[in-house]
Amino acid sequence: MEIYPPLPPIMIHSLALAPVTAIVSAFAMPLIGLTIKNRKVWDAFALTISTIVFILTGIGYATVRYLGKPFVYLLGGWPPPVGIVYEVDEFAALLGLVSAFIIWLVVIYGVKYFDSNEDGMEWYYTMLLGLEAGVLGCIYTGDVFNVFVLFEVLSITSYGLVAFWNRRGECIEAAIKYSLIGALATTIYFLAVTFIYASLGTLNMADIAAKIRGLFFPVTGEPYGSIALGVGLFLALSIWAFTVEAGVAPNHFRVLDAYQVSPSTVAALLSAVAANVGFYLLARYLITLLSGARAVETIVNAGLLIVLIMGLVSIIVGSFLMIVQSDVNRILAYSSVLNYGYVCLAIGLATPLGIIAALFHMINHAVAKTLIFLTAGVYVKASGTRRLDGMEGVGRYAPITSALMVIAALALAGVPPFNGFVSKLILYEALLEVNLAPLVIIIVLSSALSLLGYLKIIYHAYTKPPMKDYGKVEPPKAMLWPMIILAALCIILGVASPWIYDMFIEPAAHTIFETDKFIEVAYEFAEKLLIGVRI
Amino acid sequence: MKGVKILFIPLMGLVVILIMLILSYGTLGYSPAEYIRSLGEFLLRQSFNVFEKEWWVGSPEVITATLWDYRGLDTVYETTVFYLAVIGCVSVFRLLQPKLAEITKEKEEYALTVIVRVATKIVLAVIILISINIALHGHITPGGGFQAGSAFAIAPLLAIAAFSRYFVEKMGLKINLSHALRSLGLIIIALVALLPLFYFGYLLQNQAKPWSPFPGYPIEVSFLELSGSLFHFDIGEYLNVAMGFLAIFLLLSLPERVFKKDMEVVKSES
Repeated sequence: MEIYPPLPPIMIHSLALAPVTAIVSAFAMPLIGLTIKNRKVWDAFALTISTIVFILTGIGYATVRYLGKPFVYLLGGWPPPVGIVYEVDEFAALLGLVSAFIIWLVVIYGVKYFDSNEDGMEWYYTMLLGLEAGVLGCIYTGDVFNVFVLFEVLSITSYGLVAFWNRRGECIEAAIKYSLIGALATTIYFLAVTFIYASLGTLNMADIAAKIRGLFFPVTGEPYGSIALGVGLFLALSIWAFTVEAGVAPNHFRVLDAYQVSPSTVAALLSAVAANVGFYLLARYLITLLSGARAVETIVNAGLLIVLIMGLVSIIVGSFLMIVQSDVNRILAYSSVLNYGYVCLAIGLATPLGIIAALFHMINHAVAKTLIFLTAGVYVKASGTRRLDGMEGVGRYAPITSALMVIAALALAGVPPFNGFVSKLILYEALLEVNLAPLVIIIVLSSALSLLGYLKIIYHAYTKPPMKDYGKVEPPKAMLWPMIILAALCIILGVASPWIYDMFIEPAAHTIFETDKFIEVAYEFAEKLLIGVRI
Repeated sequence: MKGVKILFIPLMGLVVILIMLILSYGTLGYSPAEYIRSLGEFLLRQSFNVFEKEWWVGSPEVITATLWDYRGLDTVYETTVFYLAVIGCVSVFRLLQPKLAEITKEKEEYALTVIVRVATKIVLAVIILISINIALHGHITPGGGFQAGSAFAIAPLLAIAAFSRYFVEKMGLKINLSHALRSLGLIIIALVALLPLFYFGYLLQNQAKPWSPFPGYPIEVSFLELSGSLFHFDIGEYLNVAMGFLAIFLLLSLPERVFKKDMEVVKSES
């Protein structure tokens, strides 16, 4: 291991081990389910594994920060263009850490959320761990085909999780919609990968970035045919696939039903964690790989404009349709579409401040949206319906949960001092910086509209007098604590934002622009191929 | 309206063919490749190159070498995709009362003729033997774990068609066994992938590399050609794919009335 700086082995391997730990335990889960018929053991197993993965992602983040440059892990020991590598910069490491953290909290919440007589929990945990591996693998990988494979892992598990309540027709219907469109998206992405391989002869991200810029990279040789056409097709198809995966309008239709009917834990994971993968890959491809290359400048600018417009459409669609819904989860689903719009808009700007806004909003949205889905889950479970007029006054029976929901709603609507306000403020700044002031007005208006939507939930669930005696609504401590942690984070990320901005967000967002470093780090490993090979 | 529909299909076909022609001939200029891409050339040259052992895999079968070593992570996760798809299937088809699945014992009077049954039995044995052969030789000749598993999948399908679901279960191929064996296969893959870490090598490493202290998996054990980790991976993959298909066919061959009966309980409860 002399090719790495002297670090403890766990720091070198943590990034590769994080998704692998999740997936290996997903392999073992059915065996445990068959041999030990005790739900508590399964809960404990899933909880332990998600804790370990969370710690591993934390160590990975520390490693990347310590090195101060992207970390490259050679899978199977093969240097870049020949084998698959994980290339993790600070942006990816931070996003991986946040995803693992959210999943960890959702697993804790889920232990008591599902009734003790709920069947199929072993399959739920298997798929949940698979989802975790898919998310982390997609974020860490430095290979465009590996993204496709992990994308499939992520999608397949999310289809299964949406259909988890298999005796409810609406869940199956939502899962069919979700999976048909999702399968189309993964296939489209596969097509995109074939184009990039055909025209550049490589699948490695750093190699692609180098080839487009006309730089030398060992083994893979010269590009074939016209770069602009191959890369253009790759970009067009992958933007389509990633916006479907994330659920940005006009490709948002498949996520609505899925978020509406699936269990609250699943909805929270899909909305807060899985969607971020799509945005991460958009930012990675559009900016790190392709921006600044002379040969494809027009195409990339067109791609960025499309992403920006999609974000704008998403904001308008999300905010207007959100306020007319009467189903609590559907309101939150449209709120997700709205927030995806903000992120997309910020990525479309492709300025340093825009990416900071995108990253910060991805994190803030993940925290606040998970919180609001989990609190809404408590209401839905107590009242037995998702309809707003069926849960009137249920919040009064659960004062703590209601308080947490108010925090989440205010954070999502962007009220100071909560976290949502800060990221929106940065987004305004980023927009003003490039003279797009009219868009600021649209964002402010959409935030105001979305506040109406959140207030609608609170009005029905708390302000209205109870329509019946709901009994014990306040959830047990195991469900409360994850929500309290998330609410505390909503406040901390808002109040301490200047410090968090300087310490974490800005350096992380900056790495997405450091294409030279991204290529250089991979090239150092690839140089090995020049020494020994006669080709 | 009908005229539009009739026109639509040939129009779409025309568009697809046009796009294909534009992309294939001239514009991109790469589709009918006249020479191998240099990455492919590297893999062809190096996978069994005994003179440059730092780049070799120790397997003359370049496809298996690429799948399980050069791009091993992709294959491990593709295995996972298959596994998780089966898990999703099992989750969707799960019954509230698993006992209901046992009512599918069918009477012998519905059986097919003796000729069909005897012939199927012979074919079944051959299929299983061939699938094992494909799996065990995957690192030397064309084939491998996935192909072998797919070949095996024909066996339960034939048996269900020629005999019954009950017959397959009577042979011992029950759904719980399939879960257990599938997990076993995957754990073999996981262990083989993780073992180099204990020597401070890389995840999924197969042969020795100058920049890694892991000594490498053995290429051959006495007269057996193993090609390092490829042989073990193929066995794990074979178990996973074969048992995955078995589980899916067992679930799909459950009659609809079982699910209806299961749903009745749900309705009466709510």
